[in-house]
Amino acid sequence: MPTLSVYRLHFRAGLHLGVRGVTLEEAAVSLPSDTLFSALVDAWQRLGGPVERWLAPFLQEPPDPPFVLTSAFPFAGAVRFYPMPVDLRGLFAQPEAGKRVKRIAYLSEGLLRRALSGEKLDDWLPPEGPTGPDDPGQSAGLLLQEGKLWLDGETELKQLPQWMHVDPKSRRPRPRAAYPHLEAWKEGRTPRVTIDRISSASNIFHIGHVRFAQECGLWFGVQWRRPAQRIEGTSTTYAESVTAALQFLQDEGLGGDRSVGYGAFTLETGQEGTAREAVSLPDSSPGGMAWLLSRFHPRTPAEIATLQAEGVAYRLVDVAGWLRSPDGPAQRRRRIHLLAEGSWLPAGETVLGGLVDVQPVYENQEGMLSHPVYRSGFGVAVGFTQEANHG
Amino acid sequence: MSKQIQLRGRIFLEFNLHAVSGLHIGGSEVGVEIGGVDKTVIRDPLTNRPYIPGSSLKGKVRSLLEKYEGLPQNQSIGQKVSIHTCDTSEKYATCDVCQVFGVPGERDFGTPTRLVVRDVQMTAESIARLEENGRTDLPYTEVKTEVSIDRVTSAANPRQMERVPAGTVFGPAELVYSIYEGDGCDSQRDVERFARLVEGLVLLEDDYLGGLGSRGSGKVRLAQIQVKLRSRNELLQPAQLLGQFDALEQLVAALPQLQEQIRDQLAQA
Repeated sequence: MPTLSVYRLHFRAGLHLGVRGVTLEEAAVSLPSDTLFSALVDAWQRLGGPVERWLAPFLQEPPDPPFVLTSAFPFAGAVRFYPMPVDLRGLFAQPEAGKRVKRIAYLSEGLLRRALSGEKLDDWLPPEGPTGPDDPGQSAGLLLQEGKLWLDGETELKQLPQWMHVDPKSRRPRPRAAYPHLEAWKEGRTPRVTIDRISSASNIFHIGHVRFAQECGLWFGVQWRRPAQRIEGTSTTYAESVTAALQFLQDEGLGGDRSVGYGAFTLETGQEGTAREAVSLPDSSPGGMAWLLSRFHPRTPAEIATLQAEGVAYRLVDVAGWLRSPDGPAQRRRRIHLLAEGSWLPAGETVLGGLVDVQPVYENQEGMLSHPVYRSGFGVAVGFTQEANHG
Repeated sequence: MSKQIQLRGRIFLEFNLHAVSGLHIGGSEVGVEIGGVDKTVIRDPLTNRPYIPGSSLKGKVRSLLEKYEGLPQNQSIGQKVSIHTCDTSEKYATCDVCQVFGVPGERDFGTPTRLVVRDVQMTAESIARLEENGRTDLPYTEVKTEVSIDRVTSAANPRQMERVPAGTVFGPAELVYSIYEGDGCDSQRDVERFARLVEGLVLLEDDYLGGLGSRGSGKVRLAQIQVKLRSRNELLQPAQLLGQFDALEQLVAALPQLQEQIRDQLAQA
């Protein structure tokens, strides 16, 4: 039973997460698990914590991480969203449903639980095309964000932010047909300019960013295995270190362009900065499938072999980008491939993964950093009780 | 052995920014409608309200300080633009502007950028005032027509500029100033350097923010200034209020005493 401590991030301004490092003008809405892990390590280092000791349990053989992280996904009001699976065929009885669901990127927790218990979600798909307000054949499901978010249109609808239910201008309840056009976030490009100090000549450039609406943001889960474990040689527990690092990151920000206000967030926390809520999701039964909620890097031969198993469906993302270290200039990391969120793997003890060293290697040893650079490939998965249907 | 630094604390400088004259911070000119204005202001895409980007505030203050200090303009950006960034670690060690405002990532001697400047949104009162009086040409903004006139024929060439009206208040602005100790960082120097940031804000009040500044726009005034501190052992507590000031002159007068307070607090942490 994976129990996730839920951290909800309310972004105070835009968020700029570079996509594939091509231009500054692209930004992503997701905040993957490996990025979050690296942010925690960097924060811990800047707080003066011993990084090598902190990483020890993640690096030992076999790895025994005190906690693992999911990627961050959107939330709207009290409704949390999860990644759509890579293989849609297991979700629907009617294979042609695939056409209508191409746009959906995230499904709500209610729908996820139904899917995990083996229910088919065909009836929750809103009909195609516009429907009248009194359409008798109205589906129980609902879409938001131009069809990217999919939720249960009865109980979860009530948990959306107030401004989604009632139009703030006219103070009237919104018709159902208006929901797909409501936006929990908006992607945009901000023009920016550098002005020459002497001639006042200008050089324009653009930055892509994501801005979240009121009461919407991103959430991620921490699956604690041993929160009370102490960092080697200190009296600090891992739970305390994660809390401190997250407090630090609130003002520091996540993603790029932080010094001009991007990426700063406010964390919803309970006592002493700990997570306020937890969510328990079904475990996978032997022979079932696991649904990835994080990125994942198979490490052992057994883990790699599972990718060949019956019913497996995965998507690969290539992860590259910059690294920052106090010991040298910013430089490109080595590129690695990770399994993306929403991939399906055989359940069991085989979804653990490990850290990958992405320190750049140069022929000239002098330019090398003095320490390894790790990227997290630890996986978090929930159980899916039915056999994936490849009929 | 890898380098080691440690965050000693953070100073939060919060204030309201009053637009004494109309404010024009340019936005994107995509989707210009027929009959629309030529030069639009930047707006939050979700609320459609104008705001002051952190990058405008930070860039302007950096630019003013570079000119005030007379720093060499050695880093070329694009074709016609140069700014100052230190290119050797010796210069960087003594350059307050680069330590506070940052250097490019490819410098191998860089330490963390001390200053983070957040976007500044309109205050609730200003939003209500602009929404209710209904006299703005566009939502929350005025359209100011400017014209250049031929000296001989008197032919006119009008164009339209969008501005946030004078009297609008943005706030609270939040400037986060981090204090580090360790390799290449000296917390005592960081506390001293905080004065550079305040100097930059004085220069900003005398200058302008945004565009069209040499012809009247962009005069801003700081008010309701608060200085808060969160030292490293109070990470989970709200930042502690060290002083409140109605105007920038008062902050300047109280600065030596504030820096003393900050040093004492950090010494205990």
